[in-house]
Amino acid sequence: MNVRIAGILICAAVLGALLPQPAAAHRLDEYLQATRISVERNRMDLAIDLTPGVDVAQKVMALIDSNRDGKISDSEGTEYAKSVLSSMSLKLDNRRRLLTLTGSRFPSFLDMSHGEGVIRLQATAAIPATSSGPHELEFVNTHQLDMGVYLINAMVPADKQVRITDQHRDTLQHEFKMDYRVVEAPRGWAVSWLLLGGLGLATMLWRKEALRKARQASPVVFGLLLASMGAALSSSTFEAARAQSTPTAIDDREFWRMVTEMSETGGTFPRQYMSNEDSAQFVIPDLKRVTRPGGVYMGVGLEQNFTYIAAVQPRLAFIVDIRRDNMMEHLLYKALFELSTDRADFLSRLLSRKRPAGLNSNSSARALLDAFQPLAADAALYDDNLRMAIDRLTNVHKLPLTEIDKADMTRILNVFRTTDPNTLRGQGDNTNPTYLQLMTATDLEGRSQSFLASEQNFKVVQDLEQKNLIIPLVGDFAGNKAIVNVGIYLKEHRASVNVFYVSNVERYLFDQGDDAKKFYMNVGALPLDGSSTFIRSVTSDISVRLGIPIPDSTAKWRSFLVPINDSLKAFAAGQLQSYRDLFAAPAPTR
Amino acid sequence: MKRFAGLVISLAMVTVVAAVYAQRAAAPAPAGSVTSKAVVAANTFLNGLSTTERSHAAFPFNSPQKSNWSNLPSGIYQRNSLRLGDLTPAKRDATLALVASVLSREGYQKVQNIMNGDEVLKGSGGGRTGGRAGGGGRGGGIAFGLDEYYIAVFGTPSTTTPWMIQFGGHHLGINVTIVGGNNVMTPSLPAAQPAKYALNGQTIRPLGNENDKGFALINALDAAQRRMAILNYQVNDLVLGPTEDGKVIQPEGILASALNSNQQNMLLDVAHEWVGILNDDAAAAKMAEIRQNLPRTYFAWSGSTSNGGLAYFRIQGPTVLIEYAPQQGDLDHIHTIYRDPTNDYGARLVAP
Repeated sequence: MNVRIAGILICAAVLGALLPQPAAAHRLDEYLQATRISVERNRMDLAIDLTPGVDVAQKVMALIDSNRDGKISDSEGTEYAKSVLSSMSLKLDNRRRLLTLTGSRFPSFLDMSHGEGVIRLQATAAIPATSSGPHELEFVNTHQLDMGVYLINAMVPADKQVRITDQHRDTLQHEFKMDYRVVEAPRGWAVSWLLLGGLGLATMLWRKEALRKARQASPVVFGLLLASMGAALSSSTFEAARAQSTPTAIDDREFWRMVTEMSETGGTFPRQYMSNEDSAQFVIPDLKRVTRPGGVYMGVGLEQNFTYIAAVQPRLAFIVDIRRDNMMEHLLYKALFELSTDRADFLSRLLSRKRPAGLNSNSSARALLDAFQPLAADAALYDDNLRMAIDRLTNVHKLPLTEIDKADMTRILNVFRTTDPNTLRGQGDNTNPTYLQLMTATDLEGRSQSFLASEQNFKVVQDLEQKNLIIPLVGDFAGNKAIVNVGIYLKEHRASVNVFYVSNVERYLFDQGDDAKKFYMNVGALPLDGSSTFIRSVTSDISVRLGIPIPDSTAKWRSFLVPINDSLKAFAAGQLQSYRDLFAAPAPTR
Repeated sequence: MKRFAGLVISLAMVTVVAAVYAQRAAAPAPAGSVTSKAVVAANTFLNGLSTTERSHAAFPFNSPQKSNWSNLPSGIYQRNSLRLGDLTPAKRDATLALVASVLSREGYQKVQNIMNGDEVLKGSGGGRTGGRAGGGGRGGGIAFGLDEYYIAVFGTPSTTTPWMIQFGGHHLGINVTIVGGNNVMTPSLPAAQPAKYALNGQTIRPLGNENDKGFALINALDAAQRRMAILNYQVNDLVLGPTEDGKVIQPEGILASALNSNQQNMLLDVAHEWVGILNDDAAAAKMAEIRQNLPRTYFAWSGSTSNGGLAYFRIQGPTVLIEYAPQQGDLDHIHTIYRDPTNDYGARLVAP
């Protein structure tokens, strides 16, 4: 033992003997180290609270009190604080960042000896302004591992452009990883103030004399006027700002978090693999007229949503369906969209049939499906496609699918393999339309509008899938989670729903106690705007049975557009007591 | 010029009307019976004190002393307010009557249970992770037990203007801000050591309901829900303890909207163990607020899911944070905290 160490031990022992015996203290043989991390775009701030327990206090004191005088001088405190920081590591996007001490406060040795003296350190790491998009922060604290007990927490960012998307820790909390996103600034505000400046300048030049008089007459009111003009302009451009705030892409972790955490546990409803609504495209021309691209789409069911998505071109879509199977089929579709080079390739993968020759980007939906119709399924192609689809989801997107999930996807793809486009139908009787019929159907003006009608339509959906912007959720329309969570998410991202395709789900809700009420309350909690539109569908046999007036047609279904706010008002006014009432007040547009 | 002047006048009128409306909207709620009783109790308490005692008990409403509270015992932590042990029995009764006036019957019993537990701790040598000595008092060594609780009144007791009652000591910090008919009990720290003791032939568990209801909730979750709720790391202490006013950590765990209605009610019932310390009217208002924010409220769990095992849990919503944290692996030593990051010390009610 060298002299220096012996001296330290003697000093520590003397110090310990002089101090009161541990009493009413809480920490014993642990050195609690609590770190709180605040993230901004150009800096990381750390607040570190270190609390040595009674039984380790002397050891910590010895680390600080280098001259053994029983006091903590400024230089001793700083040196110790630096040694603490040197045993910590902070990385941003896999690059180590230097931690700089910005503050420290030390308790008395007496307080520390009781196990409740807290050493408080502040540190910061300057970082280059982080760009929009995902970022990863890693923090490791290895200070005094032999006695350390750790807490690490991220603070909710004060900077609204920084959004934490995920956190991971090791069991003992000395390693911490955090994913966050920097979202684009709402440029609409900048535009507002530019407009304000421009307008103010123009006004001054135009009515210089009048303004001078007004300013002289009442400078306060003049100031209020300018502020009001600014507020009015800001308000007018606020919608533009909102359009900037929804994500342009969602990273894989966030996508899976949304899929799983926003979903409900699911319920039962007859299983099906495709839509049976042959009227889906009837409303598309009107839908395009009443909605603008770039909104948020919500829908229920399967591939008919792709057709509506291709039509309204949203920036984000949520598919909410009570069947977990529905979500699995959407995830399978997602993989197939992403793997495919074009529509023909997509159909080849979906139907497990080799791509016929002669198909190109100009081929019509009819030409595509007619070309596939006579072909037999290819078992090897099916195996390859299935493997690639699951690989796409689990290895590329790193979605933690369970074996049950994979088995569900296998069953779903196998259905498309073992049937063909002209025999696969939606749930119900054999008069329902086939896949081929739905893909080649038209609107009421004779134009083919399905997502396979054109390469352009296909690309709209494919682009959204590639960016994780179509979110399939398991959810009950009358439930208290999925739609509620969509509403919360959209409010947080300052976006509103512009289309909600509800099919004929309301029919079931009106038959199930107060489920319809719960649904309209859920919808009422969604952020909506004046153009928000329901797409409703009713079968012709139900329309006859319930006396719902629909135009004469050979179609089995009829679809309608209804302003969502009109439905909510009608429900609030007690005008919607049954499914039939939906088609009476207010009058559907189609 | 006339049109311009008209516009200016219109804007001014709108501004004035808006300002008046805003002021009215921010006005405190009418004083309820609790506030009226609390004012009477506070005046009785304050009027019974000597000048010296009063100097330790009465502080300006915005005094920095307001945040000078802790779970720590006397000797380690200097409270600067009025110590129960320094009061005559009558003054001591008036103190406790003041505390009781703003709490529910169950809440006051919980406070009593915590205080009695501290007295038991004092007599038992401090417990495995607790104190090992009693005695002392103001200016002396480390001390805890029934004499070592402190009272302070901030501001002038009133049915209209803001004031606050602060009561606490070892393992207890109760802060009740009163603004008209509104009563707010954040931040507060009910803790317990021992977590279970016998008194007058009865077994007392000051935070037994909190423990049992927490375990019942985690066990009511299905496997998928538990995967979301249970953190994969140890949490060894409160994250936002006594000095961490107004801070908001990134929430974790399962969103309450992922719970079914029965589970949500269980979650609310857990929260009520803290919220319901305050009087019934104020607690009902707070519970309504928490219920309204359920879709944005998280429940997180760390540790054993078997009641009797060691576990930390946290409820975090837009206007509530509750943490339950056994200390250093000691089931007999529990710290908890109850906060509202938007309304600690009634900040929302007294905002200018």
